Amino acid sequence: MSLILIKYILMGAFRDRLLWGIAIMSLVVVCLSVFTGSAAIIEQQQFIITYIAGGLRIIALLGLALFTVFFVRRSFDSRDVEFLLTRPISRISFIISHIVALSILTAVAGLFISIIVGGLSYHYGSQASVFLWCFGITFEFMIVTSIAFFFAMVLSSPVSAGMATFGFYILARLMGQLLSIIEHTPNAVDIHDRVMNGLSYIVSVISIVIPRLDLLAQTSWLIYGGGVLSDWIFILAQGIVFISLIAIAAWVDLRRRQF
Amino acid sequence: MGNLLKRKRHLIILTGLLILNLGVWFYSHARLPIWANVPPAPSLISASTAFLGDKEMAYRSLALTLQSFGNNTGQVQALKDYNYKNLGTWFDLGDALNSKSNYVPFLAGYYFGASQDPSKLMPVINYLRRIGVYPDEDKWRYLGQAVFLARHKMKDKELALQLADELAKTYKPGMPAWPLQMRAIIASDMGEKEMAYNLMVDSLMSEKSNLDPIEVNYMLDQICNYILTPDKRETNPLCKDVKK
Repeated sequence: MSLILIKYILMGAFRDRLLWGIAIMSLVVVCLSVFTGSAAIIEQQQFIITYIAGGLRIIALLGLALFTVFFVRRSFDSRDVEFLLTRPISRISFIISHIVALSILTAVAGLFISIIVGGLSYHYGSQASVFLWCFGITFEFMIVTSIAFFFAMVLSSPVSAGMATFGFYILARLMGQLLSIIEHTPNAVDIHDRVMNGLSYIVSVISIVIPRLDLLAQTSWLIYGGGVLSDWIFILAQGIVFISLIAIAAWVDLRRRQF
Repeated sequence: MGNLLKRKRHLIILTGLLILNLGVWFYSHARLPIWANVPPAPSLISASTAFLGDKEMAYRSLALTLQSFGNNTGQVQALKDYNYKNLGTWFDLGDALNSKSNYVPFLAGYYFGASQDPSKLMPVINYLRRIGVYPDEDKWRYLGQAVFLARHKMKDKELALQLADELAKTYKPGMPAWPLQMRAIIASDMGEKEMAYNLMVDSLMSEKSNLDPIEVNYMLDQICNYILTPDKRETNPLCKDVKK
């Protein structure tokens, strides 16, 4: 791991005004959520918290993923990567430094969002499982920025990398839904059953390498609580396992690359 | 002249396209969105997929949509014109997405229950009947509202009695006594005086230690002054100290 490289990435985020952008957009989300939630005839506070949590999640995620993709592609296009790799930095160190720097950025963004959501929940007296939600949202950001980094390393076009990242995010958010509707017919009799069995196996196989983001930061935790110790453990375990997998996959790709 | 036209042709084309655009506007500006009545609710999977698997977000967004039905095209509609059968599917969807919230039950009971056409209220009553027995705090109040809708809006006393019977079963110490009294009041209203007497006395005897003295006095008043005939009242020991 290279501290200079981490500093270089953090400086890039600072130069791109990433966190300022997230902060300003968050303010807009809070205002819109308060406005929309106030239209509810009862349970206004629950509406406001739900909209703020959902809106901030998307805003921060868009900012972090787009920054990651464009920063990495810019580093390749301006030959910064080639220059960096001529220094005494190994390829694995290059990958780990990026993952660590991006994790620091997501932790700052997660902390910022947690302060807003936690503050509002405290203000409304609804503090059920707020810390668990904040922990989950930070790991959700870490996973998505890691995957954005991977796609930006593998795909040469920032547009393709960005689209792949958002496609992956949507798939990861919906994986719970997909797994709930797949059906296996043990004794398939017609073509429909066989096609459905085939599709179900494909979804089952894909789900092995897709994290369950729908289980990470559940908005209902902010209102009704319900988070338990196993949720904390699952968030941490899935985050570590998946980010490690992505880091290794990016390293394998970088090892094969000729400059 | 020819040279001038050639030099200004881009402005002429722009002006021509603006005029064409104006023509399109003349055709389209009077075409306003039309109230297409309440559509059937999407499935649970579709609704939560549309919000990336966030069921709470889906519930809150669809609940606000439900609240704005009939009023989101700038044309306010009367509740009697709503398709209540489809409305029932939205209540069910809300229940599937979040069974803890009181928002959709509140809308169903106190807003959609106010329809000018009481014959359409069965989907509302069926929904309130289902969620009214959920164990969450105060859900029984929606069953109470279902009793009110059946008795006073639909004038269906048989249904009201069935619902009141279900309401009485939700009674727990700490609740007000009217969920217990409701079935006796409805039975009395239907002329079933003996049934009303038995129900009221049964409620009084089984829950007397949990009831507020004011509630006990009210129940005695109902028994002695409304359910029993004057001659039976004279001989009933419960009515010994009850004022006429």
